[in-house]
Amino acid sequence: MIRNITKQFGDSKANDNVHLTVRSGEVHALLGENGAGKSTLMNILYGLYKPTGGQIVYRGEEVVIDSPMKALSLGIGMVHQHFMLIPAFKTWENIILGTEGDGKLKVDVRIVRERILTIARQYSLQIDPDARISTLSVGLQQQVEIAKALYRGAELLILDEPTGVLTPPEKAKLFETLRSYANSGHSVIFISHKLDEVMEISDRVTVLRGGKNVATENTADMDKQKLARLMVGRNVDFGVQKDSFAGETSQVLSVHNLVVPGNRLVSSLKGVSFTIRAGEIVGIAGVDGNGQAELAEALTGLRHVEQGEVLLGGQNIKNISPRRVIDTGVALIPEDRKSVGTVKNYTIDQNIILRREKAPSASRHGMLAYKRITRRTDEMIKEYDIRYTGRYLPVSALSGGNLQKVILAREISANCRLLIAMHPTRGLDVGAIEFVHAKLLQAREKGTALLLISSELEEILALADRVFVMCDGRFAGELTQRNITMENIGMLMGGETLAAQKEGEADA
Amino acid sequence: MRKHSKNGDVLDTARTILYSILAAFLVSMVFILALGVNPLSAFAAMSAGVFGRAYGLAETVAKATPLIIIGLGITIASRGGLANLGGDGQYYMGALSSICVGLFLPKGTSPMIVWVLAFMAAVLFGAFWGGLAGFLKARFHTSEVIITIMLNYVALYLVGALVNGALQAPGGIPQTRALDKAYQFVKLIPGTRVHAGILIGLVLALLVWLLFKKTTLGYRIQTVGESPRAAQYGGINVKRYEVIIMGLAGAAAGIAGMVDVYGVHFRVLEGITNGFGFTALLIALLARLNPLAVVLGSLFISALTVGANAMQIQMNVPTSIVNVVQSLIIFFMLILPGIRKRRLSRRKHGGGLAVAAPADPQTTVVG
Repeated sequence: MIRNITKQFGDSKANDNVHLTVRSGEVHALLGENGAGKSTLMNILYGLYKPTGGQIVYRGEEVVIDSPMKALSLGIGMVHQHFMLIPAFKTWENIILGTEGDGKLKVDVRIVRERILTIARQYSLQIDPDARISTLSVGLQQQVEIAKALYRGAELLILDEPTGVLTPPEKAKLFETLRSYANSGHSVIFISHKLDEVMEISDRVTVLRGGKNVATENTADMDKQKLARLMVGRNVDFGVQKDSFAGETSQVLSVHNLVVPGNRLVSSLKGVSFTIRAGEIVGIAGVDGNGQAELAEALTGLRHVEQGEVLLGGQNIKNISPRRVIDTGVALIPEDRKSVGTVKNYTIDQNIILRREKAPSASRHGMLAYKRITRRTDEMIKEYDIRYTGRYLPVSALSGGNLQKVILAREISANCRLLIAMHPTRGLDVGAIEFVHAKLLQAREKGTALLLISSELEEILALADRVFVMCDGRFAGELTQRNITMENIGMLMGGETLAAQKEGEADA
Repeated sequence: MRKHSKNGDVLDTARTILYSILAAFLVSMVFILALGVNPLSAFAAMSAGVFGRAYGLAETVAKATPLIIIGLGITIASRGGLANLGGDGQYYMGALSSICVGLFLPKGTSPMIVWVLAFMAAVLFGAFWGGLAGFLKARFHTSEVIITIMLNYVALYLVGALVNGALQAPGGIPQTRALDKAYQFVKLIPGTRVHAGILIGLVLALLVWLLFKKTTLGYRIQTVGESPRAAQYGGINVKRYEVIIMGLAGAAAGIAGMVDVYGVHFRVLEGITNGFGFTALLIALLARLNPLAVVLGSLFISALTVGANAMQIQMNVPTSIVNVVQSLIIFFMLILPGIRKRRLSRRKHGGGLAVAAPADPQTTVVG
């Protein structure tokens, strides 16, 4: 269906002669690392970008798709990674947005509602037409997005990284919907960089690397290892080498009954307690938005703590200024590396001294010490293998992986006692993920206490010595050693308790 | 920290400014033509008015002095991500507080002491007037744009009330008494209005340049301006810095008021600023927030004004044509980078421009 598509941005080709054929009735996975050109290709198909060369053939006819309107009229619908819903509107209002009334002034809500419910029943979507979007969970919002596309008669549905925000049960539900949709003769393009999911849901898979086709295969003929090799271009080691944690080191962080108000009026941390020892990685798993961000902010002085106790090495750090938290040796790798972790118009040097501009390594008596800053940055660039196009260009020119390395270099090298890492590998490619994990483990070996907040279960499984699963501002459970399994975490994420733990630690 | 590879940017910026000025002059020719005057001879009269006589050059420097100092304050504010449209009000507060020092200290106080105290008073009151807007923003999320503009009126009418009342000089004219001769700034060039204030302006320009080039304070201000969220993460108390940044901007404008009172007017009356605050904003934009370029920009804009006066006298072209030129310069500075980017990407992508390139972020000074 897509032939020889080329898309050039400046000097680089985001898509270089890419082919993609999707048959009716199949779920076709589009697999590739970040920057492989998946999203570019789909944005071309959806009319958001104009291709530099090549054709799109749809149902045997060559078509020019120059706007999403055109794509929709052809029956191509897309569910973006970031939802395009209006929170203040009701579900049905969002679904008919752009088609409302079809030229008539009045919308017949009864007919609309009926049509929505029919679609929902047909593809086992969970839709309440009258629910306001702002009251829905992320998983339900995604269902609305899908319903929106189907309402417009989409026969080819594109989903861009749809599972990142879902709990395991929600994911299962989504896959069920996609399967029944494909079985009724429609097609799905499923964009992902997660191998497990691709193996589970797709009939065929096309792998992109560096903007080029690598392979198109029947999923049944593939396995995870083979796909990974196609995607990355080399063998990938899935396991992380790590010694088990002895558990006899001194306690670094102790949090007791922490209550923190969220952005809404209801408190978003409703009393969590835990400790971290030197050289231990404590993982916080859970679906985003269950209080993880608030926890990190509360520990670093960025958010006011209402109740509870936070001790770092026995010293109270509750509600002290962010500056003093930094000075006591708490490092933070923030969730948003582009607009919080770094300043995009600053050079690497300027970003390296962020949070540390008063330290002797950066300044003396309020005057910046350029020579020292440059020397230190040079060292870090070497140690962390930071690749840049220009030493004194703004960091907005760096790739996501290299940007994260700048943050890691700054935070880890600060001789921190506690390192809080929020989603440290989100959106990074396999190589960068390996690097970040290695550096985190290195910090652990040096005796840093680590708090790893992540929604990537694989990451938690690979790194954490102990795991807390967060759900609705509380810890749904604690897992240690052999208990740390995908199944256990998944169950706790979904709000269930572990049978084995019910009496014991469920409320820890 | 911006070394090589930045040169390209500097060249680009210089080119944009130059083209904008040229384009502004070209377009303003149409207006001059419409007045029935040959534009070329009008421009000739203009440049003769500036460069053709010592008085013209001296007047250019004199008029540039307050613009430089206010412009430096606006540079600090804009680099810190805040818009200071209150230059006039802060200037008035500086003028008012410093004249009080000069008028009410006992006669015979050494001029040095008077100047230092007047300077400190101007800094204090200017900083208060600016810092107030910063405080309200930090505390109540009010827009500093609106507050600074409104405070201009408060200051203006305060001056009006005082020069018509408590501070009015005998004789019924709405103005204060004049400063003692001994307290007036020395003239650098006798017979002109160039006074010691320009030296203050140049020193301040150097200090502000150093602030951003060399100090942690400047680094923090800039970080707050670039990304408040990153600044907060970086341990910078953004709210406190909002007050500090606006306070510094106000202090600068206050100093400008003091310098004008002690160097040019020797008294305070209504209308001594003549919209300097907005002209200085324009200059800061023209100078791309570079403190040293602010000096050049101020000289350029004040040369335009001086030249326009000569042009009015000789060619009967109203001086307001200069306002047209000034506005057009800003107009072109805002749109030229966008046009250039479009043309560049056209050439590269062969017309494929579904997503427009974002305009140069630095062109938006007033936020």
